[in-house]
Amino acid sequence: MEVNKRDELPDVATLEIVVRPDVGVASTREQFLQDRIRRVVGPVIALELHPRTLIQIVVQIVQSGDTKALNTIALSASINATYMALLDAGVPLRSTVSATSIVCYATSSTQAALTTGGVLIDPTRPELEKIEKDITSVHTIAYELKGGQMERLLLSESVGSFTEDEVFECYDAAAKVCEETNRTMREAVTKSVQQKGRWRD
Amino acid sequence: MPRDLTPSTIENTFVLKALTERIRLDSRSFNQLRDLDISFSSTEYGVVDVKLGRTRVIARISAEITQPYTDRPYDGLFIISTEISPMAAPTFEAGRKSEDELVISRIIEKSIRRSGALDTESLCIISGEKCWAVRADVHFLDHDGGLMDAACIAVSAGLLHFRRPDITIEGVGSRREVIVHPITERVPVPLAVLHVPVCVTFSFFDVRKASSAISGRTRKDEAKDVDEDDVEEEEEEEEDDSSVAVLVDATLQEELLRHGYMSVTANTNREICQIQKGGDMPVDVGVLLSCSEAAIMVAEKVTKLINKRLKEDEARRNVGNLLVEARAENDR
Repeated sequence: MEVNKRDELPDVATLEIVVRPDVGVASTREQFLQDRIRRVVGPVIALELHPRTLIQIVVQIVQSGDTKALNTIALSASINATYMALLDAGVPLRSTVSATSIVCYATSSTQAALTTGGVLIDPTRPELEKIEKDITSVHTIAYELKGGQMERLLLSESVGSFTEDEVFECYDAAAKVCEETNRTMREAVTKSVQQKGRWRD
Repeated sequence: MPRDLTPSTIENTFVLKALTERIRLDSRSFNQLRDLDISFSSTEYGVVDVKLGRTRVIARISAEITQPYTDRPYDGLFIISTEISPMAAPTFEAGRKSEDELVISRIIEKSIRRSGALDTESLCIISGEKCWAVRADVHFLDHDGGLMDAACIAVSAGLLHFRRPDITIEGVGSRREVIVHPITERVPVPLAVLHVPVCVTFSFFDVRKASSAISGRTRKDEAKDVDEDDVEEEEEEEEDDSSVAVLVDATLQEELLRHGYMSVTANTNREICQIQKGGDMPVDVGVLLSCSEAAIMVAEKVTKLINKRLKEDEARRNVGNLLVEARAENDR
């Protein structure tokens, strides 16, 4: 797309990310999401192939899976959706991306999470509401994948109190989930490409 | 800076030529609506997805308790937010209101809020202290013309579908307390919707002007502007109904090429809620009346569809008839 003169960059494409909330007007929460999505997606897009153009990504949250205090499901879902949209739009990418949310909670509110805690991966809203008071930490993790294998960590956004071991455990768990998500995405993209390329047969 | 969409001259002449032969590019008749699809969220109340051809709009109704305005202590608040993001089309800029957007939000505001579709007095909880603030967020996801028609249908359907949590007031005098019962505890309450406004946009094409412009161009490419002006002036004098093509529910392409438009909001009580005319084309009284009549017909059709979809949704939710039996207004 044509870029605003003010934002034009001579050697790379300008990346604009707009996040729109499901209810109300955009606030700092959406700004935060925009910033994080940019950090994950920015290094993956081959921006230098389209200098002096604009790549605009609009993320519209239709139904928020987060409770009021959290912002993790929206982030991981936005990253996954953004990646799929970029693929569908045919924007050149260096590698694949997928993200996941991990919520750690104490099963009994008096004890620490590590000893008797539970872990929810990509929880739904009713699940979150049930454990809302016992949440000890929330992690949003995005990986860059190459050939379906985890390559490097792109984003690790953690809120709450947790130990070093815990966070490493989360990384391992997230890597597995991300690889799984990546497979699902691949299937979806294959299907869509097949459908779109049907006229060739 | 996103540039406005400008159809090419070939596109322009092709569409207009077809219209002079009373043909639309998508093979609809002039007064035919595109396929309308309304679906409700399965998990939440007041979330509606409206598809009008390729145009797609999601409306989301939400309610919270706030303080009413001091000059209107008996009224609740009702806000419609219609911000168009670049999601709809890249021509819309994020954070800046374009002229089109202003027109769309004004028409929706007039159609629904100012026509009194929602009884704001029923939103009052304690006069001057507490009231419900109902908010309608309209998300435009895909733009293929008729944004305001789709948005109006979405908000109307959303208001009908929405349920607010039940409340009770305890205590007396200044020590009154409002208890909000979560929807898992008590059957939520529908809003007091007085009528269902449906907006229909008519696009006008000056067929005579168009055909003369087309033939003039093909006959003599070097035709001077002066000549064309003369031709137009002559025709304006003897203008009659047949020189105007009136299209219902224009696509984006037709919207960009039209000479004038008029959006009429009507309901099933045969009331006209608002009329807005735009573009630089004068329209006859007869056309205006026939458009109003057509708008009422469309409103009846759309309202029927909304009610049908609402019933289907109700049947899906109302497992074991619990929603009816547990309702607060039942006898105990």
